Amino acid sequence: MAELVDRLEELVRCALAKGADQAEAFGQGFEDREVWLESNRIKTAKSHPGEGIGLRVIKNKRLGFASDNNLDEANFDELCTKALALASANLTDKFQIIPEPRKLSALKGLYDPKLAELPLKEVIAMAKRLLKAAKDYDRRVTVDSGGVFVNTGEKAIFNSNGLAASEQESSIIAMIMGMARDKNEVSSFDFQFDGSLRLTGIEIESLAKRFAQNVIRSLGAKPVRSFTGTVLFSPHAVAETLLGPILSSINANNVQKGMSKLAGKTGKRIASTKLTIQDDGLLAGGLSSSAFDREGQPHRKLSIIKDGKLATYLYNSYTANREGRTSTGHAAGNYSSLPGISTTNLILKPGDATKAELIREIKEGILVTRFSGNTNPVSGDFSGTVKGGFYIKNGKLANPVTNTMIAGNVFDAITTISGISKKLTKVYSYLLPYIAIERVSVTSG
Amino acid sequence: MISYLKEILAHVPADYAELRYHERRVNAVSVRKGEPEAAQTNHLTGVGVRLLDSGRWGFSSTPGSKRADIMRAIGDAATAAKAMSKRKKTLAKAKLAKGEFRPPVEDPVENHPLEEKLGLVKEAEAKARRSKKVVSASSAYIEYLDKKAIVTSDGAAALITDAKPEFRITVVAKEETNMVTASESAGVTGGWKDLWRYGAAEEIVEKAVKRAQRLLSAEFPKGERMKVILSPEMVGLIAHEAIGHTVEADFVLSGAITKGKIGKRVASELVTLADSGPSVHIPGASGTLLVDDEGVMTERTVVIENGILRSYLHNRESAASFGVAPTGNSRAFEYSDEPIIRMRNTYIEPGEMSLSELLASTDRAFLLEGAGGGQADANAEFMFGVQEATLIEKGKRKKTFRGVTISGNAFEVLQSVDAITKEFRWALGAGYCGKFQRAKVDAGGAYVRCEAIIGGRHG
Repeated sequence: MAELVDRLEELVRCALAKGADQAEAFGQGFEDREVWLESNRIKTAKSHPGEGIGLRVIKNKRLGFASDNNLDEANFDELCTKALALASANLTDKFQIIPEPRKLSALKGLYDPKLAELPLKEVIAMAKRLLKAAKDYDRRVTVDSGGVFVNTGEKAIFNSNGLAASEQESSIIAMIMGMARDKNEVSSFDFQFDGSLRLTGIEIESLAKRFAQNVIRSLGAKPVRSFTGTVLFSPHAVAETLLGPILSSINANNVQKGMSKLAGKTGKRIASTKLTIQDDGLLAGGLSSSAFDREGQPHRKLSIIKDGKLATYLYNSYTANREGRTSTGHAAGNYSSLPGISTTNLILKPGDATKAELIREIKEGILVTRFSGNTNPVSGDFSGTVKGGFYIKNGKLANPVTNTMIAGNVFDAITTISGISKKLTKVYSYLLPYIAIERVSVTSG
Repeated sequence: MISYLKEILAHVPADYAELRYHERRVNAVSVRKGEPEAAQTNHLTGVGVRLLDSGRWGFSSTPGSKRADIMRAIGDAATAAKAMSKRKKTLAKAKLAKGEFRPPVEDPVENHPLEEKLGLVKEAEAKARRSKKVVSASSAYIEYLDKKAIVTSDGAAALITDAKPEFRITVVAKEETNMVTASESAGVTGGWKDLWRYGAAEEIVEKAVKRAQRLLSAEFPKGERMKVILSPEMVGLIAHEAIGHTVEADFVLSGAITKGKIGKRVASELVTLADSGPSVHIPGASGTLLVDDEGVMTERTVVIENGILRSYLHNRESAASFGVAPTGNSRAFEYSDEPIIRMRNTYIEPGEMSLSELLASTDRAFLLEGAGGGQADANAEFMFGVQEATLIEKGKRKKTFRGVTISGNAFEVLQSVDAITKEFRWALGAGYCGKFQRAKVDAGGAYVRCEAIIGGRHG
């Protein structure tokens, strides 16, 4: 572990010796084991190691970046030369900064040695269980693709301000995607996901069951009438439809560069008071949990939207420096890219209703299990096809729907939230509820 | 590198083995709202190992190309193969590549210093922001410089070198609370001159700016089924996403809609659709691939000929199971990716009519321009965003609409084709296709008139 940081330090020294004013090296070493499913079978199993190093330099207020997928010290000289050459060709930007070290909390439970030791054979066995559980639920279930993926490794950072940090990490992810076939009918596609930092944290059978239930339930779909009504978004549909424009517009870089509708809105009401969104990079068991971000800055718990009011944008060091503030710890990316901005573990605050109670409140509406369409991150316009959807009439799920589209604008939609479920579901690094939204345009037929 | 890999391969105990060395350098510069965003160079080298042992595939890879690391990867691939169930699997005989391969290049990008590329991106972005109502813009230049050495135990030994530069501009226009975006791009396999084949950077910027300005005052359409005129980028998007994926042999095997339809009519007889490794009609298509990642020589594969489905897209394994010759569609994005069936340059062949004749003969239709995001299913149902829709009435351009989507079943859409122009272009040169891993692909065609469902808002 110390070894990776030592190598990064050597690279930073090389960059300083060649004339960099400031330098930062980020390194990763990992071992991936992947088992892929395709067409109701195991398609491939593979394991491979990987590594890489990224060097950011600032010289005369100019930025340069170079990366290599090989940690071999023989490459360091060339890496420094390349990064510095890019810096000298680049435009001047007085806000470029390599951050100072800040106190990091020690985070436990990020690394499970059981995952590191898990042989490929065992990963294959889990993928087989996933496949079998889906097929056993109902013979009409067809698994198009999916798999089980194990990643273990370490990451480290060192910069010329004396910042040094490293962390070991592990994760296991399972995914399943497909449809149900009944004679000539093919149901909507469904996709389900589970992930954990620990081997014991993943539930293969219940993942398969969720998927199988969804595709079987969506058989027998028919169009309904066009109307304007309540749309109940599933956690997956919340991620696919609503989150994109919100996350793009709270990214400080987009705000500063005129690409955010939420510019100038901090402290102001932008959504229903029911909406509270938090980000917590230290969340116990969170898939994106880590003590520090891509720049070695501390992660923390932060309210982004509180009771409908915009609390803050998300910053890395560069965007924070432009406004004379400190980074919120949201620098993101891997060794091969410059630090961007992203959420870590995002949590949408649960409401107080069950899913069934939310449905009971709806006179006429659509339950959207998945959304397949187009969402513009800047304008917030969305329009697309409802997948695995149900028509809701007088507080009851009437029938599955097909050929049905919804359209609207995310920034309008979050002002007309009428209900949020109390249960949250893990969708990648997000914890999301069901959300009911009023006055959405539904076209069907 | 070839003889080094051949020598290692000689010691691999398997029915079939393949070593793929890949060195890639990616250089990128970008500017957003007058400020530099990225100036970066990424370098990677590594070797992917794939072997077939009693019908079981094993795959592994290593960064770098040291002998000991490649041997370790071979061991891992063998272990992975042994953990799978035995199956009967053969590889089809193929025209294997031997020698050196380079697609044609006009004025290599390496001859142009980084300062020039950065200057171009800076000026493009600044030009966009000098325009009325434009509040922000971003511009980027990215180049992929690739070198591959592929050897297989049955005789492929190919060294492939190519360059794929691309340029993009995104413009944000604003009027009160109304905010719209428009983007344009160019991308090729080739050199600096090739990149500007369809217009200089400033013309590309101008196109995006004008579109964003028009969209500010555009209305949302009502949803209805109607005649549309697809521009080459929309033709390319549908040819790739909604048709192309359904004829990839691995998807066919898992039950795509095209299963069992070879020899049957699937489109209007005006439609000939192909996926080609070499760039046809106009050089420099960005998905240009002379040799695929199984070391197979690529070709122009006719998928639909005058409306009849003629071929799927194959790798060596799927070709064997269908009893046909491989089409050279096996591709891997990086050394650590295993080759899978992917498209290259997918397009609809041009027709006889000119665009002005087509417009003049149109009573009422939407001209759809600027590809947006979207999705397509294995049953060819698709739904894509369109940046801009122009209503054509009695041959004249009328109103502009925004927030437009087009949807339908791609084969039904192709059945309804009643006119194709002779104007042809590669239109998605800066595009990538994501199917478990990325691939650089191109797509395009002529202007095509057909019927589809236009999505909008109601109420």
